[in-house]
Amino acid sequence: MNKQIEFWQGVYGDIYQTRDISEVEYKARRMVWRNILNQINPESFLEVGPAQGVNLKILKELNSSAALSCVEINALAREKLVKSGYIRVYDHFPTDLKVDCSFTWGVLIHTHPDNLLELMGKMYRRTNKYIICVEYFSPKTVNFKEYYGGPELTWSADYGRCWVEEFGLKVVSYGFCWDYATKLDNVTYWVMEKPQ
Amino acid sequence: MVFWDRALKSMYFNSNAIPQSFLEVGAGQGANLIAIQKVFLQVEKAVDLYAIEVNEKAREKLKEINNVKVVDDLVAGMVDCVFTMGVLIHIHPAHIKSVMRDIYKATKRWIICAEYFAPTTRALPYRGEADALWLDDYGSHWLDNHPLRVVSYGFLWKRISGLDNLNFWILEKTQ
Repeated sequence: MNKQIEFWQGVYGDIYQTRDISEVEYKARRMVWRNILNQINPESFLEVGPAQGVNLKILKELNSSAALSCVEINALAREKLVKSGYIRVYDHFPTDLKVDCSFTWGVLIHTHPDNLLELMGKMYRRTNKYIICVEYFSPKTVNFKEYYGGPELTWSADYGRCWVEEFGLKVVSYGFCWDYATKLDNVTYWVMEKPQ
Repeated sequence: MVFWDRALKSMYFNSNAIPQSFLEVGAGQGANLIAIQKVFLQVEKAVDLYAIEVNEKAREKLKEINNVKVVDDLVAGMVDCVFTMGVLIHIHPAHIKSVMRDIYKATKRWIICAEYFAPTTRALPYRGEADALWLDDYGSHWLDNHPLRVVSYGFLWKRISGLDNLNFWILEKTQ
């Protein structure tokens, strides 16, 4: 247990589950996924930290036969995700699950740099082919002091470089979602592939 | 050169035209202007290139490049496209609006800016100096203060692009 996990399991994590996801954000996320699924064709996904499950809902819409799983540490979120009926929900990484693609959207940024490689390693071991991460970018790791919840809870970093250098992934594509144009909070995404 | 090739293509597809003249503000030793020239050479088209540079040594180097004219000031409507690459970041936030205004006046149609991004203004120490580098959402500043539309934008990740993690915007005047 660490400060970050406690935070997202606790009351702030609960409040986050009631966050209103606007139509604009939903459509923008859908556009990002459509673009990604034009490049790669995974049939099974594991999302780490899906919260309300927006990405999984979009993936279900775009590919109704895709097998969707997730690891979610917040109990309230898990309850809602289970109710969706189409997501296999875990409270920790299952050791017997293998998917075509594991991914995060705004989750590595909430992982303490000391614990990052451990989390990435778990994602790496669960996927056969692809890893996607959508996170805040900065060339060097920066801790946001005044972000939701305060210091030591959110970072930005070159997560793409970390995936490539530490795990030997190959970059399929990457890009930037400018908030002004997309309402996606200036996130950078990387679509990466395990070397075969 | 890959960046400029793509930038010109996106202008061609999205604006139905490409600039015939460019001015780089803070041209350094002219790497961008040389790259633009190469792209135009490939398609056998002529292009006019101008540079503004405050560093005397760099100015001398720029003068040695064929077809590049080194000028002292921005003049209204002087070229089709004015651009900066890693230059706005070195302008103090108190002066950025007036520099952008001058750039806006100097271009007939397009503005390209490639700079370090942060969602809000963030100062970073640069070569030991505290007041020398600011990350910002320069694209939003352009759109908020001038009638422009986005032709394209994106991120140039160092690992793939060889450029220094720059965010770029290609903008076109709407008036």
